[in-house]
Amino acid sequence: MWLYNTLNVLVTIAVIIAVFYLLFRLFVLKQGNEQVVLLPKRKTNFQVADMNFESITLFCDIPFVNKGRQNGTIMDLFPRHLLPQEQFDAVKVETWAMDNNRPRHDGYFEAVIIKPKKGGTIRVYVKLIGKSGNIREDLKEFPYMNIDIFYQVVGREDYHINKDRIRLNPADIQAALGH
Amino acid sequence: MAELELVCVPTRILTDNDDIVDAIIEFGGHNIGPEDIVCVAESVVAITQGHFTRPEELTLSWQARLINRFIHPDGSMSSVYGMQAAMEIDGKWKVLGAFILGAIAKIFRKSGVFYAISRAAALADDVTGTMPPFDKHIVYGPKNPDQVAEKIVSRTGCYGAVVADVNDLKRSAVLGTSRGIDGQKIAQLLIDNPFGNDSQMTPIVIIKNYASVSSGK
Repeated sequence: MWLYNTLNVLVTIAVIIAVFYLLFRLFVLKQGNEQVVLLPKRKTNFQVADMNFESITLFCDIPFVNKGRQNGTIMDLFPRHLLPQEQFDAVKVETWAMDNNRPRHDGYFEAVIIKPKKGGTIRVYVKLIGKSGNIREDLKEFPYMNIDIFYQVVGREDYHINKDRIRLNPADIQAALGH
Repeated sequence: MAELELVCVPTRILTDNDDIVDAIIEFGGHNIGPEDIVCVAESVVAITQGHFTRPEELTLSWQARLINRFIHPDGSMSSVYGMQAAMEIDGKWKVLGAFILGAIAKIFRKSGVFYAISRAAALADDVTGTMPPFDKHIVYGPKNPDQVAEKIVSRTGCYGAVVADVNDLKRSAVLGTSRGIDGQKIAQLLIDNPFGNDSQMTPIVIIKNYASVSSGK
């Protein structure tokens, strides 16, 4: 009999825990999470920020939005250019990014909270430095360059790192050089 | 007759490589007299004590995942890592207990019980809560604020010192004081947040002539 009673108690406790867990998961489902995303397809064309004989600096703006129902924080964001020497070796490349709402000149991305259904834009800079000292000559055979944008987002759930890709095309370079 | 005057002391960004008392002497020492109270922002004290962490360093518990869901979205504890950070200091069971008691107290229309029990939850600043380079960190409350205040008095020769937590929402609290200082009185003097929007820019405020003015009253 005592075994039967003990089992009854254990089963009741398990059912209560299961019900509470289910209710909590439903609450979480209703409450939602952040969903901070970059919108690389809506990026602007590359424009010239600065140019001299040896180098050219371009930038483009990429919108981001929090599609979720909770606050999201972009803790960090940085671009990673992908131009291996096997593909093209005439320029040295530097890339950095900033939040357009809080312009900086140091390449540091300041963490930012994004409210639900709100967003902003990040500005990605690309500096191409000619290895021969003449940027126009060095860029003549420029193929294309992918740039991955990494961003770390945190909210009510575990942080995650997203990656989106944009591309710098030869046409962008030619337009920037005024050809 | 001397009058009370609040003097903000700008500093460079202070980090865990700095000693808060050395910084007070370096940037404000020339302006501190024997009748003055030296006030220092709690988050900067915590930073100089190395009392902060990063989300990447935390392992989330089920208690943090559960409780953070019930915190207002604008609070530091609404982030699961902010909540876990508080649990690292206060213990996950204590924070869970504080949450349950807070929820019960809310039924009886008494608010603030959760934060009154879990001081780490009340004092932690989540990611973005402080200036770069600590915007990617969770900054805890300061360790031993009374001792810090005592040390400031003994090194600077001022009348008294406090470690204060003040914000722009007219919320002012003194977390630690040197002997004989009435923290509530000082908190009232700091209510307009002389530390500024971001206390790391002017983390030190000197209340000039406090001793003579308070004895005159």
